[in-house]
Amino acid sequence: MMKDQVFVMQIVSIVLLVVVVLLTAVFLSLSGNEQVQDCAKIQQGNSGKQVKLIQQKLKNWGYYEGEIDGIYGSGTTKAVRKFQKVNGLNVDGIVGDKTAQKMGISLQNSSSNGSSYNSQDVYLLAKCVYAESRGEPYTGQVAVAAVVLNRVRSSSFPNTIAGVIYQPYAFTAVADGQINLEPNQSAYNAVRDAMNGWDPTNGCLYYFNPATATSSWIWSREIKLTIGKHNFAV
Amino acid sequence: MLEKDEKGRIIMTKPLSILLIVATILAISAITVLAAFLWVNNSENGVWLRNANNMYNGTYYDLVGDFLQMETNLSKLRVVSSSGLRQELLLEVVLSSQSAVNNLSRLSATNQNMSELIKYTNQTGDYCKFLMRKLGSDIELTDEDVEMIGKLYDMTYQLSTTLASIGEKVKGGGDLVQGIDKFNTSFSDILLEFNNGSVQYPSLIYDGAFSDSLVDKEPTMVVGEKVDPTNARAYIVNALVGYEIKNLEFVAHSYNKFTTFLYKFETADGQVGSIQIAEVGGFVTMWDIESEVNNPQFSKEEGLEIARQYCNGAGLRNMQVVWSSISDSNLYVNMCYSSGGVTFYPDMVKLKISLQTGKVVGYEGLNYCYNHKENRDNLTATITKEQVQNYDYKDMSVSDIKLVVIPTEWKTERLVWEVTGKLGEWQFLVYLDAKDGKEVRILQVVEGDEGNLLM
Repeated sequence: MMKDQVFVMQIVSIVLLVVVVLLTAVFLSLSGNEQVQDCAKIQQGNSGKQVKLIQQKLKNWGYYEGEIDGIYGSGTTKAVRKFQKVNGLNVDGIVGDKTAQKMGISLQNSSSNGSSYNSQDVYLLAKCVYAESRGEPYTGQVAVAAVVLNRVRSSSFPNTIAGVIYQPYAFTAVADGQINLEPNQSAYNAVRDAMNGWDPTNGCLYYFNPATATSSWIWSREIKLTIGKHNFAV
Repeated sequence: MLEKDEKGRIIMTKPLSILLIVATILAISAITVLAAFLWVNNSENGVWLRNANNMYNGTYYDLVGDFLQMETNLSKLRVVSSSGLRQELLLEVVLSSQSAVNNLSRLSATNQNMSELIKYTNQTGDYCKFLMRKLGSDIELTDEDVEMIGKLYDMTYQLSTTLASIGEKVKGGGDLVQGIDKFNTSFSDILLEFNNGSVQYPSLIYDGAFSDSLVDKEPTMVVGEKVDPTNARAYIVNALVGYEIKNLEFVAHSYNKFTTFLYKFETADGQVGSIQIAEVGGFVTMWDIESEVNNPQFSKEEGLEIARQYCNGAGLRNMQVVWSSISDSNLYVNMCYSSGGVTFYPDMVKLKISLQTGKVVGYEGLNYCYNHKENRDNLTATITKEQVQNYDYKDMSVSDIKLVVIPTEWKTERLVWEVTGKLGEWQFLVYLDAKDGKEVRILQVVEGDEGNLLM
């Protein structure tokens, strides 16, 4: 009697487990296609054109007395908090959708801002750097960004950042879809440094991980430098 | 859960029966939903695949059109002689070559032959741009220029024909991806024949106007005694002004035009960065610390002053701020050597200043390393500042005029007047030759969320 009971219980448990696993798989598969969009917000530490606009508005309304310099420092935060308090908003010193709406400005996520050519390039290159070199030392990340920019300048490659990154078979992370991961702050920082002229590779056009490189051709390139797991070559 | 009936057979209790029925229904539902999802997903993949294939095919046909345009216009250039028409045709070649490079970069390139084709196409466009500028400066094309156009035509014709033949070969169900891969070798053979023949094409273009690297230039600052990796600390400490170095670790050699040593360092306050110094002379070519600013405490003006103080402390004398831009509250500053009222753009270092800590967190000095000289010849301006002031700038209001030396595409230097002005909300930098007053360059400052950009 007891043996039979245990046996049936085991069957029931297995059926339930399979059901749970299947339902989880279906849920994950379906939810995996959804794009979660973070709301754009501007806060202390940010800088740029939109910060200038916020400072200008706050100054015009008497909330801000500092310089219109596009730097979101403590003075700007204080002014935003004052503005939020007066207007019955959540007082956090961050310009999110509601605060922006009250200010009469339209927030754009800087990473997908269609108005700035440069923002798009930074975002795309940061995605490439993150996908190709997350886990590498910071200099290695700057070096990867610099290689992409060196290719843009070279006559042997396409003339735009998008052209270089999406050139077929150029980057593993593009081929396997890792390019679609959201970059972290370190990748952005590395890209900004590279775009401002930092190039630890001194002009290299290629890099590869010697442990995983499958192309024999890549070994024919002249290696100039090794940073982290990557060999940089011309 | 289980019990026996009167005949001793095991039967399920009611709750167990219900549980099993529910579990079975859930399992069937899950399988059905999963099957439906996989079906939808696969059909979506099919659509994506077709779309990708269509885009690929479209790119190929656009490319064939671009090469045909290049070929036709190069052909026409062999017979026209008026400057205006020549410029018009050259512009067409430039535009077609740019479009062709974009399309080539999207096509399959499983080996390196495609990059040779990209290089040829870019170079042809660059050469035509060079000829356009020549004509724009009232200089006529020479016989050699015309002869080169003829050779470029022959070459483009061959490539264009080969490219078009891929489409012919895959008519009736062939695959363009495989077709192009197969023809990569043909492109390579044609280009090899061209480059190995009597035509000195790459050197003609790249030794002249459009040299695309620093390989022919000797760095002026790589002089002196050799630095040993074990005694490089003194040079590094001198460059990292304001930091106490706790740990220093040699990472690698870099072999380029000159050898550099790459070190990793850790400061007393725990920041980690890297620094590169030249093996000969110990000039620091770059150093960098990752910097994230969450609470900016310093203004832009204070940041600029920090940049000036850094240069003085690091032994870079007479440096002047020529450009600055803020990105995520890090201030990027370009500083150039200045002497005798002239600012030298080739002698540039770039600094990154954290507006949170007020410290320099990055330095890049490769341009300075290649170009810096204390004294230069031929720095006399024939055109005076007063003449520059009276120049016709249309509606632009001038705010500053200064004498500067700029690098040229020919890897030479040119003395020019830099005129800063505004038209509406846009800022411009206009460069006039200091000898004849001709406009040589114009840049526009584009303000964006990532800082200011010069275009």
